[in-house]
Amino acid sequence: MAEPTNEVASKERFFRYFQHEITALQESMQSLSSHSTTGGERNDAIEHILARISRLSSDVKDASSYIPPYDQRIYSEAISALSSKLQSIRASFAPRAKFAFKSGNGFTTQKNASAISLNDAAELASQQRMKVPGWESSAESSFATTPAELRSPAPERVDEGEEVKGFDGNDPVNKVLQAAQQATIRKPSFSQSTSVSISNHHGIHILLPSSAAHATSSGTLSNLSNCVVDMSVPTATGRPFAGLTLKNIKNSLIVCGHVNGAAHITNVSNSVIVVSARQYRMHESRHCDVYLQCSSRPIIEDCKGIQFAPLPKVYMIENDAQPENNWDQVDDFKWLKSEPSPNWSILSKHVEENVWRDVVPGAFGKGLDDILHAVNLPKA
Amino acid sequence: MRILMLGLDNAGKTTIVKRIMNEDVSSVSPTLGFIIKTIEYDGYQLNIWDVGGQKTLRTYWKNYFEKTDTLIWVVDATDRERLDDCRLELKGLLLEERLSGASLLVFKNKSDVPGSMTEDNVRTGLQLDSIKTHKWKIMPCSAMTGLNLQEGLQWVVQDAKDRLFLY
Repeated sequence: MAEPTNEVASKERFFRYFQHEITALQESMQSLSSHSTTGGERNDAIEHILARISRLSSDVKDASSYIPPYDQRIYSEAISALSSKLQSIRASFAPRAKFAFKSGNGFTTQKNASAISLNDAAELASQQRMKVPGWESSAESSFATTPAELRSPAPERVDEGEEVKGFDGNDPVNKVLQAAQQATIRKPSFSQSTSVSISNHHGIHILLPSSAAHATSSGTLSNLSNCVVDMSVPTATGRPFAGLTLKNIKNSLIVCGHVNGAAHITNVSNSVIVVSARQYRMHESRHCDVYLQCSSRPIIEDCKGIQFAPLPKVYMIENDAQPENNWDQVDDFKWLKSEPSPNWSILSKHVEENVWRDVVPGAFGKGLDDILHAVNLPKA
Repeated sequence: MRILMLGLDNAGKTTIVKRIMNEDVSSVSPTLGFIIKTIEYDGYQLNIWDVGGQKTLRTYWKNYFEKTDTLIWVVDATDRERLDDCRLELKGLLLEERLSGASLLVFKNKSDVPGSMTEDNVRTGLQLDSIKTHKWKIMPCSAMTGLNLQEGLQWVVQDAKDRLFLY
């Protein structure tokens, strides 16, 4: 049995943990409106918050052995206050509710919705095995009180619907795209992984959500064609990539975001690459436009038709203003003469800032091809 | 004594040298040719030859083999994709007659990056245990945090001392 002093220490520890979580959750909720709705980014943030609330609720249950009943009630009240706050924030975002319950079943919508979301979040949490060390969360305990039919709809389902909202559903191209997305893409969970790896896709739009910041230690993108991949959000607001590898990519727009180390690029053709990195290394690539922030001298090897431009302002973070940008100081390993290398040049016609800001993240009625067109994908 | 530092491009060779020298590592550009740095360590003068690892430069590596006491082979622990390339390049080097007397230190660089390969991953991936022709040692290190860089030099110097007694 635990000694009384230990119990006091545990209580204190839990109190501090709870305080910290509550503060962090409120901060996250307040910043929800700053997340973009397209690409499911805001949804992802909401999911994340839901999962944290659920975990906190489980933590309170688990700690019931040493927390006095009065404290438990205070904790529970704080949690339900958080839940309803999140509900009202969500409601303010979506006037047309994504999942509505059949009216006339006697419950108030508010209460139902919050009960559902907690359980959904718990399910999510158990799927993602999100645990704070020392605070084992048990998702099952919160399920036990809920009838099975109330557990649906699955959060993924809801989210997919949101995610494709940015595309014009009636456009045949996007119909195919949606089908492709639903067929080939499972909503990836990055919360447990330590690296981002995206491979073997054709014709899809991937927006790395800010929750993937947990995973941005190193990244690999390979075997992609006709894709738009935007990783700028998690690497700007969370942590940048330690290193990033791009390999075998064609006819695509890759917004890499921020890389602490080197961006290592091999065999990319007819594509647009946007990246801020400490080093830029490009090999065996053809006909690419590179929008670059680089604090060292970029290099190319066995490349042809590469055009360089400075990083668009919309992707800059505070750090980018300070170090010098050597985007145009390119060294070509295959050109040792003093005359300028014929393998690269300075891009004369830049894509406008508003395209990066408004079109690239995905806009209503804008499909994948529209985005690729808007960034002037280099032709062979 | 003379140390030759080789490895695939983007392994972090120059950054390791810069970190050992306490120089700025944030502005290191990919090495176009080679860099020589002299470090005093434990009373020894170490000349470190840091040769660029780009494919174009690998054919020139042979120009630097002569009189090498230790070969430091730098591996990018985050680059699983090219671990096999890395193994083949190292295997080729170890067949070189002019490197036959050199000891081998394998630096598993970028070990500070979460999810990077473990020492066992690299040891197996590079088939280090099959190396019988050279005395070798593998050490995880990080040019960003400085992890094990001094320890690596210590091994290099101790190894040189041991060999002095042999002859």
